[in-house]
Amino acid sequence: MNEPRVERLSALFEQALSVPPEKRAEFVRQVCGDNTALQRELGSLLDAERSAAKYFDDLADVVVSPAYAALAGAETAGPRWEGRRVGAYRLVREIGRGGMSRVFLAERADGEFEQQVALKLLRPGFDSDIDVMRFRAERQILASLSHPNIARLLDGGVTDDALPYLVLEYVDGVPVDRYCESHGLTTRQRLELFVTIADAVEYAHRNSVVHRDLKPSNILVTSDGTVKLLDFGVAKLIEEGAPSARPTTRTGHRWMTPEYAAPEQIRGKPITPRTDVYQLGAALYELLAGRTPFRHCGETIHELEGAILEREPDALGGGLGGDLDAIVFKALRKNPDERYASASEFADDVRRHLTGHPVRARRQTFGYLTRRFAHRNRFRLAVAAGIVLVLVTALTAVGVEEKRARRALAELASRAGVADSVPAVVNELLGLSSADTLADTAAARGLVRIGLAYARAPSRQPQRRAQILEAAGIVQAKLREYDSAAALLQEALVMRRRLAEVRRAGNRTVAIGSSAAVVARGTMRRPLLFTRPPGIVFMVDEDGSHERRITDPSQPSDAPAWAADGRRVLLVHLSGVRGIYIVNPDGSGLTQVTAPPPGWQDYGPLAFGNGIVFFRDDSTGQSMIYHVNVDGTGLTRLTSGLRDINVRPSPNADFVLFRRDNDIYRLDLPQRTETRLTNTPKRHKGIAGVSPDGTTILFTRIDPGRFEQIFVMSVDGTHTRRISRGNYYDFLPRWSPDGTHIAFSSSRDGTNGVYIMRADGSDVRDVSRTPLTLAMRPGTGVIDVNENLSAWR
Amino acid sequence: MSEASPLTTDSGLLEAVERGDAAALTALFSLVYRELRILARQQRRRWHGDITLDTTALVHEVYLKLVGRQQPASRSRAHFFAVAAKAMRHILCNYARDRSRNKRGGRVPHIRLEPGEDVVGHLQLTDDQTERLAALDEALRAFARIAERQAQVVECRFFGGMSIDDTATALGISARTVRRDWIFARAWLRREMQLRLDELD
Repeated sequence: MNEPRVERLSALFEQALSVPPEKRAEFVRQVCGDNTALQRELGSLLDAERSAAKYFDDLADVVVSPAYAALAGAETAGPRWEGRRVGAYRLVREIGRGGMSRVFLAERADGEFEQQVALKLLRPGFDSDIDVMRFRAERQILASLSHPNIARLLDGGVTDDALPYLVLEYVDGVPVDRYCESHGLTTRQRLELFVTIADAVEYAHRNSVVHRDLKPSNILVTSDGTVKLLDFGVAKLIEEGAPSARPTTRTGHRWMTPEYAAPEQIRGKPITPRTDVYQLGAALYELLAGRTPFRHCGETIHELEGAILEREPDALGGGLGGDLDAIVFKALRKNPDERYASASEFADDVRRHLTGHPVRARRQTFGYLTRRFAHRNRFRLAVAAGIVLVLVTALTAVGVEEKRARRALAELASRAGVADSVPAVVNELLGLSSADTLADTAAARGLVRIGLAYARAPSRQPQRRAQILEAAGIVQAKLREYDSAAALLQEALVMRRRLAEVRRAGNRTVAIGSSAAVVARGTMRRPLLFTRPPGIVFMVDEDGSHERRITDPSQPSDAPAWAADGRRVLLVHLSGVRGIYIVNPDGSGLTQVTAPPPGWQDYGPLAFGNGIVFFRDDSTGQSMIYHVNVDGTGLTRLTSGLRDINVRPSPNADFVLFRRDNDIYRLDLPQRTETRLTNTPKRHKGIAGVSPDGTTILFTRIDPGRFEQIFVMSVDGTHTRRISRGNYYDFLPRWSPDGTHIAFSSSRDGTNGVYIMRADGSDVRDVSRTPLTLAMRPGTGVIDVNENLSAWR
Repeated sequence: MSEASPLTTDSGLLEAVERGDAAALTALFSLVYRELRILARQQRRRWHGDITLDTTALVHEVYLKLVGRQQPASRSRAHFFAVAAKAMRHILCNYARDRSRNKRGGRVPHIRLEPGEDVVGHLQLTDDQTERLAALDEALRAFARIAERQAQVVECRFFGGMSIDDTATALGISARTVRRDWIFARAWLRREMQLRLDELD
């Protein structure tokens, strides 16, 4: 056999393998023709191929891997770890073992309090102090993860013999796949469980932690049904804490679970949150299909890797096709860019499936949308089949040729007796947006769908488009689809603002939102802003003169603050659309910046860079921190929590502080990493602000047996100390512009007064009777004053 | 890395191997295995002897120690793995061939790599495994005569546990070719080995 012959044989062999097994014999006969030798050769190779993968894998496992082990002179016997003391813990028994770690059930050795933990010993050890430092830094990040569905990292360190270890919350649960089986969960229940998992992963991602090794054995469910994700970020600790680089090739054992490995992990390409999206996809696949995506194509690890890199997984089967296939396959794309962009996007699509909405994973063809719509409305539509026709035509009409379709619609509608054109459907949507309740949610969803398709037609007039988007947003809010509602409403708002600006500019093109400039601090003395009940915003000069009303008394407003340009005022409306507005100090030019869904309230806007940070309360009591540009564009949720409030920007616009569950967090921007600065959730706190030099955080705290008092700490959460002396009720502290003094309110003599002290708490002076303090007189209801307190020095 | 490493760019050893210098290859063999053993001993000490070896991590460590972190050229790295794979093949196959012939009363040519001797001493291969390994060695030699590139792919993938991409880089061929060669070679070898093992029985 010469070289070209091998190549030809190899090519034919490859082609034959791409033919379904039952047709291969036929294929071989065809391509070989009269050449019986070739036919035999090819046939024998195809026969051998069936067992080749497993054969070589077995051989690698029993011969090659042990050979490497023997080469390294490894022995299996070793001293017992049980009973040994590691840090403050005593190891009780081994409960798990991986290629790179061993896990023990452990308990506090000092008997201080009873606490069972999981202690994970990592291998290999560290070579240098730098490794140890990196390990500690990483550990710090992981320890800040605080989520009900993530097992907490409690502690960690390095043993006497240089083995790093982690102490984790001990979770007494079973792997999620086994839980689903033993409890006989329905597909729906499994999907709901999965959404919880994906949400927890999203939380970690927002804190810049990627799991890298998500798999059912790392996802436990406790006896009360609580999901707990284990080992978040531990894979990274292992691979980066180890003196060696990340293993990209393999033989024998390794830390990564090949069955759940994403293609980029096998290729040694960068790991991103989308790697977790892939692994979530693999986990969902397994929960639904009862097998991993590539199990059947890989008796060998090499084979498995090949399959992960190049093959498409089989359909889920078991009547789960359609949406679920599309969702899972989108998560399992080889190219990370084609997957869901985030775990939350993934979870949302599963939610959409659960609520009968078109899933994003499927191409949103009109045919598909119609099928979805028809499916949701199958009972209703069965009664009035004519409507189906109208809607099908309506959807087609939007995308294709409107004129002709309108005529067809009108014709059909006159027979069916319903909305006679797409615009009529849209009008119905507009009507629905002002209705008190939605009688038929399925129909409402259909109207939204049609309306949006109509609104987004390129030929649509912008004004009309904005009107429909807003109506659709309001209807979606009524449907409790708040995310899309908020996005649509904001989009409509921005569109309207642009139209208005273009009108003002007399059809000249104007640049939007680029005029705001950061005014250097301290260069301008700005009046103080304050609110009087029931919601009227005023300003007053620093010496207490020139009090001026800014807002119209008929429109309750609150939370005034100077915008970044130093010329306009940010505030919120307390009725109507309760968003953020920007207004000139003389009350003119009131312009809406955000458009929260009905019932929501945006609050506490503060200038941040050229934009605005604020928090948004939804109608269920959850609150989240957002950033938006002054022109209404770029609305972005910044934090991962659901109870995030009290946002305070840093002077250099490189981070914001916020409060979550009574603890203070720092959110670094633009990278959006969250750092928890305090860990005393039972002590109420309020963040006042960052010192002008950006180093010190001023806040108040209520300790047991004490009133609210003033504290400071460094921006990294260290060096916390109490500034308040004595035991008075000190509140609303503010930095002086130069950072040397703190002004605050206090109830020292039975009535509230305004005081000023040095930043170290000394030299407290009562300044209540200075003219300036009128802004804080009892009864004026001051929510906040401008940070500019220079007159109080 | 401050200490002199025999595999830095200055020494030109890896480059020589890349050029196909046989002496350089031999030198690299012994270097690799000496380092592997030293590292493994360190690891064992750290882990109190209770260890499940991660071969890949081990080879990586050796690579980093020999080549240094400052040489991230993936081509050199892939070559290094290919060399390690080749070395492992020689060690294992020599051992299996010897034992297999010995058992059958044939003459045993004692051609052993010095470090390999230690390795096989720790190997507790069953007769069946030894036979299979010997059959593989024989089949692979025959295969290499008609399909040299495909045989090299087997060496990298099977004996070195290398990824498709690393193999492609080391051999200077496309990943697609590696995949095709690997599947083809596996089937070919499986068939040949079956024939040989059948003959023996």
